[in-house]
Amino acid sequence: MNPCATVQKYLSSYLDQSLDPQLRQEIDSHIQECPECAKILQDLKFLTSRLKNVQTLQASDSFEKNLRQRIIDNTATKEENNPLKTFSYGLSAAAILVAVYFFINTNPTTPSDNIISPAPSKSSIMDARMSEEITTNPDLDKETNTQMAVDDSIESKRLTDEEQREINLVDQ
Amino acid sequence: MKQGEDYSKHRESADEELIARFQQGDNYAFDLLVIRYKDPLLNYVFRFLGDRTDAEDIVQETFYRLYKNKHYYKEIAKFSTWIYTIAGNLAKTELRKRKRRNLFSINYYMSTDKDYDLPDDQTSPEKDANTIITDDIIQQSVDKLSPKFKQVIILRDIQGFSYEEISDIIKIPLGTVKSRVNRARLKLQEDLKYLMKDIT
Repeated sequence: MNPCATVQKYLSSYLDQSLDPQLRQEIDSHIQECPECAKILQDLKFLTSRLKNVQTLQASDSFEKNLRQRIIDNTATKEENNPLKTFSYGLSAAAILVAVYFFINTNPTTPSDNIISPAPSKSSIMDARMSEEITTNPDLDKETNTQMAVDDSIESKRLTDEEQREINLVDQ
Repeated sequence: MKQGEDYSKHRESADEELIARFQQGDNYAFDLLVIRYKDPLLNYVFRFLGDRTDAEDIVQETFYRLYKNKHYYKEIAKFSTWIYTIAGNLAKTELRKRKRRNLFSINYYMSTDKDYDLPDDQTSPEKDANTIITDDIIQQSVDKLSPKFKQVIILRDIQGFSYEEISDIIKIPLGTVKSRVNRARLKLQEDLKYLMKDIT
């Protein structure tokens, strides 16, 4: 390798006095014989000293005031646009509704329940009839069961198709 | 306790003590860190970007990030290296944005070839070197360096950080820092040698 290139590789460390003594001595010897490397070293000494003394700036008088304003603005914007916050409000409302539903439907019997009992819904009447039918007809044959299953399947498919059409319509 | 008393009480506190107090909710400690670091960071970022207004904006953003993310600081690192890392990353991002903007601007091709104000022909070798190689000339020369060289030369020769501290700030190995500082200095010397022929 070109000795100048090798020396120039270590000039910074030479300037910072962080070279081991032997290497430093070798560079010293080279510099005494090589005017080009000696000039570069001289320039580097000047430049590092010059860089240390560049004029320093001071922050403007309004720096702290502007910073405070930035913090306030960003914090306010963040709170306004926080989707998690909106989601948490929705979640809380849903939780309250679920709690109310369970309270109404699973509340143990109290004297007031005897006075006002809930009106039976259509589905509960149907369930009761079906249950009665099943219990009163324990020998319901396989064929009937199969037919009911097919009917259910057809009805279910029809409903699904209708729902799908509704969804598609909405999308269109 | 009055604010003034708080300031005087904490003025001599170490950075790490102040950030710890701030993490515990003491906003006066944050104010003191701002007072302590706003000028050094401004100078660092200014030398990086070469524009005072942008530099002040980046330093403000640095402190805002500190305010917002104070709990990310862990005492395993020096506070100064942590805050300089934040500022340096923001400055580099700003440089990248500018580069993208300038790729579509005719000014980019002109700005990469800036002219210096040549010294007066009547200048004598004895004339103060600082008046020949002005701060503007230094800044223009630093601006020509690529960000990785620019960053190390600012931290080492303008801000006075040790190689170890620079290694912590930029998150690169110590040997790489030394090599980059050396190459950055040689590039500056190459760029400015025609101005230094008579003064050194």
